[in-house]
Amino acid sequence: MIVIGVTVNGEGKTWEISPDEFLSETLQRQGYISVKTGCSGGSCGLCTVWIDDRPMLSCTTLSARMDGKKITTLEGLQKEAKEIADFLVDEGADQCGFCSPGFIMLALAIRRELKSLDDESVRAYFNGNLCRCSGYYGRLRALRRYVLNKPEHLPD
Amino acid sequence: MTIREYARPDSLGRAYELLMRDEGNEIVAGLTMLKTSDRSIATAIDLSDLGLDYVREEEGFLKLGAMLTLRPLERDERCREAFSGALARAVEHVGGIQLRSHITIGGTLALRSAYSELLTVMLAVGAEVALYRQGIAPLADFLEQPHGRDIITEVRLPLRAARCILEGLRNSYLEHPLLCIAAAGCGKDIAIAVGARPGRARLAKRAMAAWKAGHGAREAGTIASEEMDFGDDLQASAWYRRKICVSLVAKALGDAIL
Repeated sequence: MIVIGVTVNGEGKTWEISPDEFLSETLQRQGYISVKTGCSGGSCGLCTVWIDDRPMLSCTTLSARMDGKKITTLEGLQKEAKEIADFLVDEGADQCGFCSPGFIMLALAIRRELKSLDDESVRAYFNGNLCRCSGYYGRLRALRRYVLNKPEHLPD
Repeated sequence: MTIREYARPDSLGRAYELLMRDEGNEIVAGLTMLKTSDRSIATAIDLSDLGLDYVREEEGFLKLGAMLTLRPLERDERCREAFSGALARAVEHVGGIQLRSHITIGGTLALRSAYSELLTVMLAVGAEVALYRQGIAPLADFLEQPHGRDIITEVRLPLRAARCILEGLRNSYLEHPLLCIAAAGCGKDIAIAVGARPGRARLAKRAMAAWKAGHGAREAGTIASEEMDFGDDLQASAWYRRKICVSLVAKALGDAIL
């Protein structure tokens, strides 16, 4: 076993992990139930968390690599998540909800990273987030309305 | 995949020593392919602490560290501008942005991916691979060698090839290309690489020579289609790949001289 120190949602944690454990497994074991796993192979985006403020796939990240890192899950972004969730519900884009945590983590990341949020760049940004209900258009509408209603979220 | 021990060496020398100590020891990069394999790794050697995630422009080369991932590559201004944007275009269809934050340059090179547009572009622009023990080797030679016990430290892209045209055909946005062509250079001095045949990207040397000798783009495309081997997979047949190779090479050469 390996002992690592991480910061999760602003709180310092010490974890004992096995060398071949992946971050999604560790987070779920530690009670961060927003972290879902779908393909477990890096293709579906369900397990998206932020590592040092960058959206990454927790199913493909070795926990051992996380020593000293800052991890953010949806549990740590409740206020921001609710704002987006309201738009998703309004557009009927919540559907079964299983992929919503990964989608919202990426939706919150996009405003930091992209200078323009036209439909094409948004679609390209969300390529790696699959929805088994295939509710992509509702999500796009929700995201467009969210950005229009929250222009302060756009980067300078 | 199972890992018995995890090590994070603080020098390349130490990493190499660990690699050579046991045949079961492996360098781990983005883990995107290794994770779904059935490998049993004795010690996973993680190069994260060695500062190999850089982009540098020096000595006439664009140098990319082995631990650089595809996402920062496609966002880096120097990488976006080099080779008329071909590097960034070569990675934009690889999964989502999160996956591209995992896949490393070193891992892509080590795998010698049969579908990689990035390796095809790198081959066309005349890239070299730096290995810790064996030194610097042309990418064209590296791709033909079997996987050896060494550590890839960086890839060096000579900036003399200012322009690189990337052509490809795919069934849908996120699928591997059925075939991809990179043409780098100008005038009659153009390197043509053919990738995703499927198979490791290769230079179409006879087609390059024909183009240099004054043959037309279509003719060079036909020669490229004859000198390359193509394979069948779920996406396309070898026959179809050979057919579209003619048109894609011709189009790449036509665009390259514009």
